[in-house]
Amino acid sequence: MKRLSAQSLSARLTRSLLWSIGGAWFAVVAGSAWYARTELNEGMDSTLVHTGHRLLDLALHDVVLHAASPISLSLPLPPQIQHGDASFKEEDMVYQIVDASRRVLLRSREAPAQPLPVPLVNGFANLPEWRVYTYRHPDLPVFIHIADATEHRQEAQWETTFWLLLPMLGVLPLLGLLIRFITHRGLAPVRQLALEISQRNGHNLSHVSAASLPSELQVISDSTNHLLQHLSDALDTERALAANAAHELRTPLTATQLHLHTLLNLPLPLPARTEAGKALASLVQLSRRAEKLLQMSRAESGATLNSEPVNLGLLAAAIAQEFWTDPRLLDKLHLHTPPDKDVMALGDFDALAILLRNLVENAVRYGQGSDIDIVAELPAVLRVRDLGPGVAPDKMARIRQRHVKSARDGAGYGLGMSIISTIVERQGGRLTLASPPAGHPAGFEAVVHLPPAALDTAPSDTF
Amino acid sequence: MRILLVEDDLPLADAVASYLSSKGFAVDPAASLAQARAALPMAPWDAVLLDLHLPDGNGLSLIPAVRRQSPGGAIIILTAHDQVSDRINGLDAGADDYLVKPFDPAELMARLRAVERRRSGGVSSVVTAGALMIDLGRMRVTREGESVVLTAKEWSLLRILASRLDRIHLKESLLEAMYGFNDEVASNTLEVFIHNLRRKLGPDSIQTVRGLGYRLTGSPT
Repeated sequence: MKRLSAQSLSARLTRSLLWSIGGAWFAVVAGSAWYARTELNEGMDSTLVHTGHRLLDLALHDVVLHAASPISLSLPLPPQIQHGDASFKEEDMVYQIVDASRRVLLRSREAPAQPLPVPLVNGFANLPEWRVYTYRHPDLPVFIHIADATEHRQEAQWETTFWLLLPMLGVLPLLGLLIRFITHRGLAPVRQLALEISQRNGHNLSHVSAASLPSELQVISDSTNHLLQHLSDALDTERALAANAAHELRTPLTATQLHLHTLLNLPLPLPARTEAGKALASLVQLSRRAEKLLQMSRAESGATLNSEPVNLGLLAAAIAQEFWTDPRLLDKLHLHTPPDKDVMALGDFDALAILLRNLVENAVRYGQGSDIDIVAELPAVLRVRDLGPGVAPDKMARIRQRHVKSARDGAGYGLGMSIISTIVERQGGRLTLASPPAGHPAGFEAVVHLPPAALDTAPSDTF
Repeated sequence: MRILLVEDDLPLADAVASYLSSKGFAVDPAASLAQARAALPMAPWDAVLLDLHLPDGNGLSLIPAVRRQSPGGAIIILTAHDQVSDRINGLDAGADDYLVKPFDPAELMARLRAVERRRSGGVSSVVTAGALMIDLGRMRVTREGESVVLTAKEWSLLRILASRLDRIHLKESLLEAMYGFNDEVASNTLEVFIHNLRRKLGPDSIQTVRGLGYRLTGSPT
C-alpha cells in the first residue's frame, strides 16, 4: 500500500520545476504589467495635455465666431490623435470649455452638459468615470476640461496584462510535458539501479553493477554493495556456525551414547540399569532434536542454498539407501525412478536431501509398517507415499505448522514438516499433501514440485 | 576381530573403544592420519573406523593405504558430516559404509557383524530377498522354493548383489568384482548377465536405477 501512495521522483521534480518556473514567470508578467500600466497612463496623460492645448485654441476661435452662448459642438480630434493611437476612439475622449464661473461654453458630443466637478486649476484630477486634465487659456479666463474614460484606460491595461499572461498559460503545460520527459529520461539510471537492487534476495547477494551509473548513483551502488558484502559474510558465518555446531554437538552426543550403552552392558543393579536406560532415551531424544534444529537452521539459511541441476533419481536413490540400512525397511521401502530419463530439477542437492529424508522419516513414523514409495518423476517431482492410517482432515491444515505434533508417542518432533515447507519454499517449489493418496483407500502422500532444470543442462556430477 | 579406530576426539575414541571392547572386539586407536599410517602395517586389520575431520588432513586420503595394507579390511566412516553429498563422496572414495554421528551403537554393531560374517566365509549366511533365498555359503538360490540353476558368472554377480541388499551396486564395481583387471569386457556384458538373471529369478527381481546401477529386490512380479 505504501508503494502505491509513494510519488515518483519524476512527477515530484516536474511539479516543483513547473511551480518554480511558473512562479518566476508570473512575477515577471506582474512586473511587466505594472510597468506597462504606468507607461500607458503616462502616454494617455500626455495625449490629454497635447490635445487639450490644441483644442482650447480651436474652440476659442469657434466660440468667438458664434458669440458666447452655450453651445454643443463636436469638433473632430486632431488627425494625429485620431490616427496616432488606434486604441483611442473619439468617444473615449471628451472635453468641456468653461469660463471662470464654470459656465460651459463649448463641449464635445459625449461630454456631460454639466461642468465636470473638478477644480479650475491646471493639472489632472480623477473622477469615478473620467481622468480629467484642466488647462486655463494663457490670456483669457477660459478653461478646458479634457478627459478620457477610466473604463477605457482599465480596458487597455487589462488587455496588456492578458497578452502578457497568454503565452505563459499556453506554454506552461507544454513546458510541463517537456520537463516530465527530460526528468523521466534523466532518471533512467535510477530505475536501472532500483531494478538491480530489487533483484537481490536471499539467493542472490551478488554486487550490483555500477559501470554505467552517474557518479551520484555510484555512491548508492557502492554503499549497497558494501551492505551486500556484509550480509553475505554474515550468512557465511551463520553457515559455518551451523556446521561447527553440528560437529561440536554430534561428537560428545555420540561419546555419551556409547558410554551409556557400555554401562548397560555391565551387570548393574536394576535401579541403576533403569536410570541409565532413561538417560540413554533422553539422550537419543536430544540427539534427534539437535539434528532437526540443525536441519532447520540449514534450511532457513537461504543464502547458502545452491540452484544447480540436481538429478532427483539419484537423490532419491541416495536417500533410499540410507533407509534400507534398516532391515525392516529393505522390502517395505520402494524406489521408483524413470528407467530411460533423468529427472532434473534446479536446487541444492543437500537441502533437497534433507527435505526428502524428512518426508521419508514421516512416512516411516506414521505409516506404521506399511509399504512406502519414493518416486522421482518428470518433469521435476518428488513423491513420498505411505499406506498407513493417514492424517485426519482437521489436522491437514495444521500439519505444516512448526512444533505441531502429529502423534502422541513423542516421536513427532514437529519440526519435520516445517523443515520440509521451508526448503520447498526456498527452492521455489510447491508442496501438496493428500490423505488418503489418490487411488488408495488410506495413507498419506506428499508431493514436491520443483523447478525443472533445462533438458540440455549437464546432469549433476555428484555421482 | 581387530579394528583400527582413527579418531582425533579422545573422549569419543575412548567411548568407542570401551563399547567395542565390551562387545568382544580388539580396538587400537589412532589420533591422526600419521598415527594411522604407522599402525596400518602392524596388523591385518579386519575393519578401520575412520573419522574424516583429522588434525593432519581428510580421513578419505587414508583409504588407498588401507586397501593396500589390508585388502580384505572393511572401511567404515564415522563422521559428523551429515550431508548426503559428503556420504556419497565417502562411498565413492572406496569406503564400505558411512555412519553419521551421533549414530546408534547398534547400527555400528550390525555393520561390524556383517564384516565379521563376510570374513568368516559366510558359511551359514542365507539372504532372503522377496521370493528369493540365496545361500551364499552353499552357492544355492531358490525362487519361491524352486531351485534355480545359475552359471558361475551369474552366481558371482548375484553374490555381490545379495551381499548388500541395502545398496545400489555401481556398474563399475559389479564389473570389477566379476572380472580381473586384464579381462576384456564388452560394453554390454553386464546388461547381458542382468538380463539372464532376471529371466531366471523374475523380471522385477533386479531393479535398475538409472545413472547408478542395480539393486536386488527379489520381487518376482
